[in-house]
Amino acid sequence: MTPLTLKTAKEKDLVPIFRSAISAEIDCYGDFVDIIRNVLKRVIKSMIRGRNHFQGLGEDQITYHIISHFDAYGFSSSHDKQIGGHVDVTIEFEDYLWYGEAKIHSSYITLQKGWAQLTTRYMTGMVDEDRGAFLIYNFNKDALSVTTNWREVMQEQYADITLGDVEDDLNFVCSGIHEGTGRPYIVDHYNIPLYFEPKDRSI
Amino acid sequence: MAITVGSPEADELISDAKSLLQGYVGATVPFVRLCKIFKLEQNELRMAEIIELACNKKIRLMKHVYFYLDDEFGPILLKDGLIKHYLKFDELYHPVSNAIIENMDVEERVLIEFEVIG
Repeated sequence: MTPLTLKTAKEKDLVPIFRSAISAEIDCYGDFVDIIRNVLKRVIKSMIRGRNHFQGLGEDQITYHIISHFDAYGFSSSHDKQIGGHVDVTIEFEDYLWYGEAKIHSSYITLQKGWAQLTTRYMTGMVDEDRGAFLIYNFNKDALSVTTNWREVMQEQYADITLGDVEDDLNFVCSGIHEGTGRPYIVDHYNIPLYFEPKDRSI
Repeated sequence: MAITVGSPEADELISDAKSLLQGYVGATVPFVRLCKIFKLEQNELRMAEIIELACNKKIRLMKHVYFYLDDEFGPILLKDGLIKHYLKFDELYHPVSNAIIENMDVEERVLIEFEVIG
């Protein structure tokens, strides 16, 4: 029997121990959100490194890939759950709820539609369910320009939104006021560069 | 699937666990030892499920204790809060130097044991 480490606790039969370790460290909604953000950042990094495997996949397939990573954490993650419509991603733990909306980038109108769905249709704006993420699956060249342009669109279209600094040149946090509750919400924007067009074979 | 707290199954398991662990209150027990105490050497999944139940905040029969397996010092106790920080921010501070551990496989070096609260 190998020693029980944080790594081996993620293995199939020992996952209940990993789940319990996660549960023991969550004392508030902020802890829950920080763990989701950390897992998401890891998953996104791994997706970009293996972006060749995502070519040709649809929005749903990519989203399933992302949410499958939360199973071992003891979180209840769902795709297309019915909350005011079909939310792309919900992650639940006890009374906490987190939302995700994903879009393959094709136009800024599409992103605006996704943003409106996330913030005005799905998110309730209630306590312990006022955080989420907007995931942009970017199969185009020059992801950086998409972040720049998307921020410009947001500043022009949504006067009540406050944009945080850009991290890693591509991602940023923004906050706004939920129309229904009047409470603040916070959404992380992840622009995920999945463009893959190696030129070596054409030489 | 976790055992539901408050279910008859959970109540029975907790009662049995309290009885089996009564001589270990205050001790920190490795997973392998727990498997022997519960006679579950051949069923690690069941042992893991019982641990999950026993560590539940509503039960608090056991709690996780973490050690960092250091090349120089051997296993060193990780103080409360260090694992929470790691799970939230991917940064594990070395328990002696307080420097962020750069090892890519840091999770292989974090040993989990269980303190019996009773």
